[in-house]
Amino acid sequence: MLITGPRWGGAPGAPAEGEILPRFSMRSLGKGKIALADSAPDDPYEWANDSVLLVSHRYDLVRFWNSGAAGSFCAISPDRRRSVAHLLFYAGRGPDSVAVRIAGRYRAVRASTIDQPELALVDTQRGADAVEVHLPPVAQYVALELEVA
Amino acid sequence: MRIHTRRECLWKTAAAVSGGYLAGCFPGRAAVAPATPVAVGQSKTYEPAEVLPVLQKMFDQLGGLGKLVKGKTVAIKINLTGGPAFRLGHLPQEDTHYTHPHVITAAVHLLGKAGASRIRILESPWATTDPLEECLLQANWEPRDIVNAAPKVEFENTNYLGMGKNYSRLAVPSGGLVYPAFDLNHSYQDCDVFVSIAKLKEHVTAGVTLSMKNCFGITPCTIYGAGAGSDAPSKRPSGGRDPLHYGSRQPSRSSPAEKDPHSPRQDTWRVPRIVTDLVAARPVHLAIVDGIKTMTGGEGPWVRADLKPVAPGVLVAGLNPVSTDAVAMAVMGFDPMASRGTPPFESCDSTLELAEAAGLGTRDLKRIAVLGTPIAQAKFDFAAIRQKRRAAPRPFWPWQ
Repeated sequence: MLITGPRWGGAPGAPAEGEILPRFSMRSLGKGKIALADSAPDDPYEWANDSVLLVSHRYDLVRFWNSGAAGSFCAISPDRRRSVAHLLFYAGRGPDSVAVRIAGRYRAVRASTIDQPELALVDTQRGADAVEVHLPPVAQYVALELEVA
Repeated sequence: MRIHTRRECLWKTAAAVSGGYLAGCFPGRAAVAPATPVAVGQSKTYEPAEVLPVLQKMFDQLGGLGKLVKGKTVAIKINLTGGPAFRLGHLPQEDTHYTHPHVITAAVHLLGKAGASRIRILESPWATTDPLEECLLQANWEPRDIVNAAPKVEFENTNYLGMGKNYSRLAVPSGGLVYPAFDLNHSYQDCDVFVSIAKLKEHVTAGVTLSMKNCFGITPCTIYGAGAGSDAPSKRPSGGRDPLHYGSRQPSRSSPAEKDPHSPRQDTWRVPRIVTDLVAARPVHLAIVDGIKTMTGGEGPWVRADLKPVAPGVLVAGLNPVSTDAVAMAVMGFDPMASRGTPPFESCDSTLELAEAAGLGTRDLKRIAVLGTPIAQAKFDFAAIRQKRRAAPRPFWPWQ
């Protein structure tokens, strides 16, 4: 998807059908789409948020609950059998009852923290297209090692 | 310590007797407030195979939905209170404080089956203009399940102008207790039938939150929120509805102001009255209360109390929101005739009492035909849990 503003001028392609996001006109071109903003972006936060919405939260790789401000970085091994998700919580004290959904089919998840670096199995709920990890009380950093199903 | 002015003290005293005052003002209105049947059903789980037939039977007991919705545009206000990133423990929101998607899906399916020509799912999610579907996805829901439950199902985020060209002004026919009229997202006017699907919960400010209190969320924060524009609605909502709760400021000047800006600024006085005004301005034709799984102690996981997930396994539905909420309160073990000072209204006014006094419906169980499961059989005793919780020492909150 190409996301652009009105300075682009007339966008090629045909009007796209489907879900509509206010402030944008969608066009189909080849295998992709062009999202043309109706007006020039004046708010960087809104522009970044709209970019996520245009792709849709449906495709979120990582989704948090009860995390407060958090960040994540995911990596996958060359043989694609293992993943690591690094989770960082920015609050002064670690959050309680954090749940993390990681897209993909995984059969086991182990967690490692700075205080307890040895990997330990954590409570998970497996879905068709994601695994939800229920973390115990943690401090600012957790690494999750995920074993592909 | 905050010093109360003489005016506030006078209002506080007035608030304490306000229910009686209102009833006294309109002695005939409570007696003639509409009385319609309310159906109660039991479902132990949210499995569609269990929920759908229970809801179908309840709608049949109410006389069927056909005559209400055939060929009509139906708007459904669901309850997604708080942001999608809040959970009670690790539990999904729909098991504690959101109306469950399977109840919404079942209702949508049955409304479609009864002939609704268009069904619109509405909510004003926390401080965002994101499409409602995106908020559902963040809560781990699949909006397509709801869309596919009937023909022509749509979503709209009503916390701002949304898809409309202008806000719609809905007047309170009696003149209103706090506001004479509200400027709302067009969806609340552009519908023939309005449905409130709420969760069976206690509420810190209003005692209980059921089908009427659910309507507090129809107000757009671009006009009524903390970050509303002062002259005109803001483009985007920011913050919550503190101005409605505490009267800390007036709505955007382009919208009707409070009738009396010197009235009490206490949320326990204001919220029940504003909800009554909203239900009068935007009448509810079908009220559904989801109490299959819910929580005790408050309306969401942010409440500082001993919150517990519970599974009453009950659904309540009716064609009048006051009567439906009265039956739901009775199912919770509370007396729907309770006034301020009596649980669950220890420190607030009763929305049910105010709504009854405004002629919106009766809360008197003697006048309401309860169909399906008897109240005694469906009862899940929130009142006893509340009494025990309030008698216990307050939990320690390390961040206080």
